[in-house]
Amino acid sequence: MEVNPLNIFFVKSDSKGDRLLFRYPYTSENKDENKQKKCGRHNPYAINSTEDLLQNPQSQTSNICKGQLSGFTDEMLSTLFAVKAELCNRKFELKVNDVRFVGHPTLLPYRTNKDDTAAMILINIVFALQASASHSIVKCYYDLSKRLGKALRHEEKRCSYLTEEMKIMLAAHDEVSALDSEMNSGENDEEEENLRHSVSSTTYGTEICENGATPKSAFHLILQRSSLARSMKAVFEGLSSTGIVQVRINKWVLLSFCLPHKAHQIHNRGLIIEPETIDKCLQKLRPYHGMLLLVDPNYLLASIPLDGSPALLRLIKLYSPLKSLQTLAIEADLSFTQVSQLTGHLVYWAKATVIYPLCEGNVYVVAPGANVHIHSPLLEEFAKEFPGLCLLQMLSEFSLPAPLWYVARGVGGAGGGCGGGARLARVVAWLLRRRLLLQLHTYVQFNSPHWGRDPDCKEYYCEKHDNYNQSCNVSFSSLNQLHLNVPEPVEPRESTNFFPDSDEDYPTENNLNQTDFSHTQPIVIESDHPKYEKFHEVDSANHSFDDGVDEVDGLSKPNGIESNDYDKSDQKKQGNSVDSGISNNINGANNNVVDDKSKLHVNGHIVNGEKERVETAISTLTSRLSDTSLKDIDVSNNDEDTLDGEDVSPRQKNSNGLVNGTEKKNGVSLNLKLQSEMCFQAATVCVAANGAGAGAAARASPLLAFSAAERAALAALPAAAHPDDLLLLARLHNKGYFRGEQHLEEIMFMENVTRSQLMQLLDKFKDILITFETEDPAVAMLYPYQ
Amino acid sequence: MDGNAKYYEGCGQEGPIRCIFLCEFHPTAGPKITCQVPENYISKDIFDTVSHYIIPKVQLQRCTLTVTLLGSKILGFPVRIDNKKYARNAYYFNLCFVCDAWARTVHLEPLVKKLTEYLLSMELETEWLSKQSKSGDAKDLGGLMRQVMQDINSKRMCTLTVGTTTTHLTVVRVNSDPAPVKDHQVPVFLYSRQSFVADQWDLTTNQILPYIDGFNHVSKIAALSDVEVSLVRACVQNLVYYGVVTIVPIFQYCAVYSATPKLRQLTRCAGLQRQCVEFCARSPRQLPKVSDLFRMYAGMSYGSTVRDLCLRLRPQELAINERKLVLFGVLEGLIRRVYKYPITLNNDDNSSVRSDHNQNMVRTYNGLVCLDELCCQGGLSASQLEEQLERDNKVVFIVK
Repeated sequence: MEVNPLNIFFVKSDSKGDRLLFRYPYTSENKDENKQKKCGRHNPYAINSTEDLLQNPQSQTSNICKGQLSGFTDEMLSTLFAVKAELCNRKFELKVNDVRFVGHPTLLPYRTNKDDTAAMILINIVFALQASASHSIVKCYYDLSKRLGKALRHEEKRCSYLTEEMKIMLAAHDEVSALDSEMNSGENDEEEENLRHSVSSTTYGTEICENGATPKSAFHLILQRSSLARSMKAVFEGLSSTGIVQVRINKWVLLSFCLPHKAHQIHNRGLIIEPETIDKCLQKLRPYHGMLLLVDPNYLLASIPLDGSPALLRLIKLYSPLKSLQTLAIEADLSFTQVSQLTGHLVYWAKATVIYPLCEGNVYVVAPGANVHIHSPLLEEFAKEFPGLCLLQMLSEFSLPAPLWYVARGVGGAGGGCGGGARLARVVAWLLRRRLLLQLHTYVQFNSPHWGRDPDCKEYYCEKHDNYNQSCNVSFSSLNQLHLNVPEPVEPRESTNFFPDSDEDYPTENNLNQTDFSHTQPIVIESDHPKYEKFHEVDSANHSFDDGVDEVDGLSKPNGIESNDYDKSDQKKQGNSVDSGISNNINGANNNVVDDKSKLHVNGHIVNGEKERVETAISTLTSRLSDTSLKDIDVSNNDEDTLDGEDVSPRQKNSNGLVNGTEKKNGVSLNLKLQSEMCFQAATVCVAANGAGAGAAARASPLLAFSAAERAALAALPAAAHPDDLLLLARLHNKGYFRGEQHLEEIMFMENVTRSQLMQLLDKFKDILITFETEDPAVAMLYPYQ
Repeated sequence: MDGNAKYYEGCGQEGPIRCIFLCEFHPTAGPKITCQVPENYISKDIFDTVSHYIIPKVQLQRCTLTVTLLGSKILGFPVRIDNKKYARNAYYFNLCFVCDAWARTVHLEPLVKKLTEYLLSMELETEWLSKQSKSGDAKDLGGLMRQVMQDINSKRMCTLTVGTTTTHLTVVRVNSDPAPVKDHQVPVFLYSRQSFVADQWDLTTNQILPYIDGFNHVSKIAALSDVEVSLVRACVQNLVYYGVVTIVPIFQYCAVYSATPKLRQLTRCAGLQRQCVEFCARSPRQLPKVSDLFRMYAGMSYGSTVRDLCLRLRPQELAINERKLVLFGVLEGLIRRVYKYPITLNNDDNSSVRSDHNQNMVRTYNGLVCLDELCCQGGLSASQLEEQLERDNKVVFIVK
């Protein structure tokens, strides 16, 4: 396993020279085995030349023997790791054959005597890794070495810990070498020349043992006597077993470290999650995401040190896979940023993973990387956890994408009683923890007549295709040709004619690499687009919650900037209060709807002292005004739009026309939402622009978001005749939800719309809205990919 | 670290050779650079700090050493020649390549080694190196190093001729071994066929080459080209290693695909759209619409086969070639194949239903072999096999 460390070394270098003080593991190397191992890496594609007289004798190519470091003497290593002062306090990386050494040489003041404080000592804690270990692994080990160095520097400053420990180690070395020289004086001369490095090897140790002497090897002695050595052993063992290190150096400095590459493998074998992936995932984290703990919450609480963050404790106490981060944040009285950071922390330490909160409407399928077979150990684990259920049968239930409630019914019938929804939820959580299930989401894409073009007709290229476009468009067009004229059985000779060698250097990728080299000088390439365009092209649809990227949407339309700004703040506000707010709001909403009509006329009757009410009351007039103007535009946009001449605003119609089959309660809450948003917006705009005209323009903008061609396409649909549907469509489109970036659940969450409403909308406008089902990239990032 | 996001440490990209130098152990002055191209890339100070990695102790002779320090990576292969004729009875030298710290250098290691071996043999024969260093005139060596650097950086191969000896250096990409190729898989070219130089490949590869069209699977290629199937597998695996072809799942109308998050690229990237339109067209004269293509891809989901999709959307009428559509989608990662794995539940009772089936049926399925592979092994059509398996009530399907 390339994640595991091969060895840990502790080297010092001071005025008295360099010395390898400790290493772990320190088992001896068997010389005979070493020779066998020297055959080198076998390349199946290389021609096996048995006798190559011109070649010089095979050099050593591997320094790893049976998972252990071999071929290095301690003396050699100490000279290698005792770097010059210029290289101190920066990364040290050395690769010898297939072993990579990484460390952080630390220079620290060192008290040789009580009076003399000037001397400096260099210590270097080096990890030996397999050279194939990825860069991100190397970086983690470097970090650990750096932290160990810092801890030691601190302890040395505080109480001369390092001085004491080094004394112990040196004494042990001297003791053993003295013993050794005694032993060796009677032995053959051959071994005398490597006397110094013989110190480490236990071959001598065993000999000594046989002779009845006490010490085995210097390192063994050191391990018994020195607490620092024991700490290093603990570090090494922690890294190779769980990937998590929790060591108290000198019983004082707590060093907590996690190697996520390894830690995640404890729960899922073969799953390598790099810190970089976790960072990327965190950036994509949204309030509607949830958290799924991989370990028992009680166990987790117990393992958190006493000085752990109280916020984390609260979060874990309130944890449930059914809750979104937003809910957790509200319940734990934390900000969303805090919660997402804590989540990231838990993910990093392999205590949790990111999911969409479990709910009945979720659609799951078997994850493509799920490693399930008939002899899989997961089968037994599952059977133990859920007696009476079979993992394979369970997974086959998820063969077709269906909402969870449907599966629950299916399992209840066929699988012999899953024991209700609660048990199914536990089963699903278990399967999600093992990454056996993957959730599918539905994304919506507005089928606009001009694809891939922004309003200003600039084409967007992703990096890869930009390259293709610039260099040559060979790959696919040529493939095409290939298909057109291929299957002619030809003789080899003919085939060479058939594919004439255009130029000498065959692989095109070489040429590609050449072009790469032309700009090898790392330069910051300024994009020639203005900033906002870039945003628009790359991220605009990425409706980020916190940063102000959304504002960009507004840039494309006239007058829209201001309103959109408010929009955003508005949205944020609602986003924050959705989960807890719904139930409260529904009560209010009922009132609202009931008096809606009357209130429009009564204007100014403040029933409750609620702020919202105040806003509503103040703005009813303006909102009404804007509603009518909106309707006007509606009519002008769609000629077929035969609105009945009733003096009812679309909003009211919506509230009256709940017969659509939507769930009543939710319909109402949407209504409230729509209304409050309108009011809020209208009010603020009104205040800002100090005029009703501006308010009207702001309200009209949703439909202006459609281009002329899109409007024509819309007009052709019978569904467009219903202004409320159209309004919802326009609103969602305007906010960029129909660019295949946000799934239905996100739209539901952000806009407080029900699923059934959305489904109806999708159904009504299915000619221009294309849906596709795929996984949420933020969640899928933490899955193993084939 | 430099500001460019593209070149950070660990980006895994290859970089150019920045400098080549030859360093030797001078009997009095200790380690020193004899010759460097370009001049003074590695300053004296830097060299002094790293010299003991470049001229290391005896045990590290003839090891590939890479040391990453101070923003650059130095690769070397230290060598010692024991001979009475040299001062101190030995001649130490090391030819080093210097790259940027962010660059990947594994592929250069064999090159350094080979070049060193070449210099070593010249030194042994004619004292080519030590003569130049003694005279202080290292023009020949400098010329050689300059040529190596230029040629490797631009062409990735280099032919050196000194006197009567010649050596060839080529950069070979170091990849991990590709997964074994299976009979039911389909190789497809990643690069233009025109840039494929048939001369560089062996005869068997040349023989199967015309049949690699992105639709024939390995056993079919074997049958068509009259080559033993294991040879075809080996050839294809070799081609995969060199990145010439890639492996895609076999096209079947009963196959199920699922859209990936990458599909949304198609809505935005004009380059991808153009390629897709050109590639998926039935004829170059009538190009399909992007929205139709997108609709086809979007319709691919668990539970709906390509056949269903074709019946529903009628790609023929939209000028779309559905086979190419699927191929393009798989190659670009817009869609991925959803496989069906039969797996036998191990209930203990031996059912009576089983006894009247033929021998072929009694096998158990371990869940590691997908239907495609089983079909290919058994020479059955997918529907036949599925029908058989449906009848066996102990077999469940896992679709992933």
